[in-house]
Amino acid sequence: MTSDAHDHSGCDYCGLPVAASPSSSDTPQFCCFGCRVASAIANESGEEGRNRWTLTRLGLAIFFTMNVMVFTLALWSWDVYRSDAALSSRSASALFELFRYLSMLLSSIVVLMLGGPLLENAYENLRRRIVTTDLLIVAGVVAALIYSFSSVLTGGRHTYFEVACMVLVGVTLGRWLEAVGKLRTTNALRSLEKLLPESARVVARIANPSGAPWDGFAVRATEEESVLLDDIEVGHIIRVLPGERIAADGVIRRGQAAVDEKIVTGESTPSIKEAGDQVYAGALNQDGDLLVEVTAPPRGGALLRIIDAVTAAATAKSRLQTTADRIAGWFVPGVVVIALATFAVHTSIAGIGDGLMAALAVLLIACPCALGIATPLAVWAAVGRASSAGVLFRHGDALQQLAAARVICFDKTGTLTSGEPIVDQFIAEPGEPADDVLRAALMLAASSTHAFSSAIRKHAFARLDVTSIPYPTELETRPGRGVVAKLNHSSGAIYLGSLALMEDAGLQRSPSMREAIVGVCQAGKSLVCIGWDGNVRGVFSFREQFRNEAQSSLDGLHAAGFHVAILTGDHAARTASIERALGIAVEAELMPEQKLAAIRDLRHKYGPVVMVGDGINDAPALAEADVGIAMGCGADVSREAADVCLLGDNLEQVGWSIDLAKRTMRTVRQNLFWAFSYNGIGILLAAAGLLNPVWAAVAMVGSSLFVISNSLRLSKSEDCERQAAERAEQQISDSSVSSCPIFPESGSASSTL
Amino acid sequence: MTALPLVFIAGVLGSSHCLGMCGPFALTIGSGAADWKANIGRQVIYTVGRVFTYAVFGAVAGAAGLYLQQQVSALVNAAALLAIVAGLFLLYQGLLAARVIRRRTPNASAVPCLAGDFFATFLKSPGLHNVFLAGLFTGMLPCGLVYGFIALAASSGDLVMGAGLMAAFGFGTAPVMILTGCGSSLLSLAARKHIYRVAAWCVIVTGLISIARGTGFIELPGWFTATGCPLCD
Repeated sequence: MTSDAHDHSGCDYCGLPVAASPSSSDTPQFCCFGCRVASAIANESGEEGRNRWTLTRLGLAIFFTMNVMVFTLALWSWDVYRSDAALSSRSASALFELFRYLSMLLSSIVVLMLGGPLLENAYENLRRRIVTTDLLIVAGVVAALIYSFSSVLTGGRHTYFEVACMVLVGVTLGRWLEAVGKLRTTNALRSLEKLLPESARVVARIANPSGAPWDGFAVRATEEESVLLDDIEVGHIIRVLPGERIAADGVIRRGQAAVDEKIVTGESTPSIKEAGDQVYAGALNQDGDLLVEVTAPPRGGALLRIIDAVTAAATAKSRLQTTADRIAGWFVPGVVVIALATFAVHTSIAGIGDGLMAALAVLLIACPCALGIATPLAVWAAVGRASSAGVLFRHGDALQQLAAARVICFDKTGTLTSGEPIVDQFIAEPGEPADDVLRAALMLAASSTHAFSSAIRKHAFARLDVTSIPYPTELETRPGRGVVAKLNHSSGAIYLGSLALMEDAGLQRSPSMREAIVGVCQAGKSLVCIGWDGNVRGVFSFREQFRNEAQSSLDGLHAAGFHVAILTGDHAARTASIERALGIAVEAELMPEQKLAAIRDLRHKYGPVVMVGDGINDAPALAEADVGIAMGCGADVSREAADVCLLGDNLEQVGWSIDLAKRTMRTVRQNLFWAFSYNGIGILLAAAGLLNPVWAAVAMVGSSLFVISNSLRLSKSEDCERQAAERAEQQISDSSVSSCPIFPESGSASSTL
Repeated sequence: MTALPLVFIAGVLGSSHCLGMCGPFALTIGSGAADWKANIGRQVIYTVGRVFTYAVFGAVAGAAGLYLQQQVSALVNAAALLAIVAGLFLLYQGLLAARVIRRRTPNASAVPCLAGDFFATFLKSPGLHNVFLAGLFTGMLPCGLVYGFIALAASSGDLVMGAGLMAAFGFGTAPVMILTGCGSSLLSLAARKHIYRVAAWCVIVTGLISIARGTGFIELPGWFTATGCPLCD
């Protein structure tokens, strides 16, 4: 995500929030030293790899540091071998004196190479009035160097060149790896934006002024003009060929195609779109040649609203993050005090060299970098992973609340059920051929778009052997009642509709029909009657259709130990069958305010409540619950009441989201536990003078790497994990060809050498 | 010093193992060269970088071995113990490679590899200093065989000897790696697998020799007394 495209105060490299706003908006802002280095490397990589000086500088610094390490070890072993007469000769002494000067020279080069950026970052932070441990580490390194220089020049015994080099390399490498790790957690978001094509074919620059049908609009290849995404305007007509993604939200003006809108609406099967239909930016045109009139600016469409919503969720500081920040804020002054005390105590006991080393070790091991990234990295990774699965978290706290949930409440209609009724029972008048009655109902239902008509059509098609449906005459739709039509002009009227329609038409009910109607009404089911020639001839009862995955999802939530409830405004008699079918407590006939009371009651009894609804008619309940999950948000992610939006309407994503939230909080807890215990134990050891600064620098890198890799596990999809497990199995069965830990695929490539 | 030729031979034979992991890197290094002469130059520099890292590891391991000897010399012969540990490690690696024993590897590829960005940049960059650095970092890749010889270097208890031992191993891997990097597929996959097995048994023999040497000297007291290592204090 580019920072210029979205106006949020984030790091110019990784996008995470920056501690304080800079004085000038022109200067790039970075959240940490690692991002500054990583950004420099990334920019240089852009220049065709000719000038990758930053990375080369780091590489060469590592090379020189390795040399200094070996010289230091040689100097140390000289101390060990000194009793040996052969080695204490003049030539050996000269050689080792040379080693000391070489160490000085090489470590000076390392300091020149790596000290600059670190100092620059420390200065930037000072300007923002932030004291970081980086500044103190630089001070420690400079002190160690001055001590070592004077030691070499005055013939002193101890030098700490290797410490200075290792600390600089450790800090630079560690921070850079952190920045790369942070960048990876935002990859899911970046991949969303990459779905927008860079340019589009514009065939006309104004909307059709005359409003004439677009079929008459001749398009020739020569009239097309390739226009960059940012230059596309509302009113442009763009042409989208098969296999291309749509560049901006718009309305199809000509053509028909199967369009895959999964990324925007969550709908996994492509839908057929034709002239007049709305299409979204990022959707994939599978097989048609479309002309689309742009209705929203390319960076203002549904997809970008989704990206913005997710970015806002990830960058908003969660409560956990605020707590960690507050602790980290106390950390730095505390560490400075401990370091100064350590320096004073060890200097008085063992001299300034030891005091300096112990204080430097305290600063290095106490560096709260792991603490700082423990929470945001995990939240970024989880929010990004969820967005690529069609689940949008509106803020990071939703993850925390979802993980703590004990009760899951579902709205019924449109949530557990598909909202489309199906025919539960069809009862024909005794003595009347049932198929004939059904055929008459089909004829009328075929002419209506009502949901009940659609259910009757499906039922009739399933039961009858229908080859053609006669077209009725004098068809009349009576709103709220039903339809009336005649088979032909000479025949009598046929009525299909509610009981009220039957009464209006004066149709009589036989005792058996009356009994059937009473039975359906008592069961609380919806009812449609059909009749002609003065009598009701048949009765349809309907029930709602549960989504395919409803039962398994609810069972899964039950098994996971959640209290599951259904809150609905529906008739109690109608919901009894649901209670039986799903084995779940249903609270029926609830007015909106009663739903709120029910949620409060459940929270009081069991704990935090999650409410799952369609986000439109149950918005108050979604807002009242600890976490509101809106289903089927599609392109409408602006449903403020919901904390979590499911783009599609797959109920299984509820359980998946809760699982992801739990994994995220587990990761955050692991990260925080690690960071706190690592810092705590490390500071004790360092203050006691038991930790060499070299090991402290190595531990600092290791600690950050633990937090990064632990968090990045969240961003991997289950498919990836499964494939990785399969790959591991494969490696065991064919261990003769080693796999490369850097390029996992190179192991297999090598078999063709 | 009899160990050095053996270690060199183990390196030569072990290079069929190296091709599995590092062969593609050598090819990548070669792809940046204008002609075959330039390529050989790049391959040699790449190898020198690799051997440099091995030698540094060997020196550090030798110094660490020396330090251990100072710490525990009053009780046992640490050099002998290290030789036994190194021998057991080499034996284990050899048996794994010979597929006599098997191991359930942890799911390493599930953990994202952050070092990849760092390493790949040097591999693909022009400039001989980058080739050298690519070699330097290749030497740091995790490799069971290298660990085995690092343990052997530690058992030497000598900085120079440790560095020499690892350098001998590194130079042993050079010929096949350089030829591979120059594009020669000298060995078919079947032949490589065959040699790989021979190399595995060679590693097993090296391990057994190391264990035998260690057990022979286990009762001798240590040779040195010294102050602590500045890195380990």
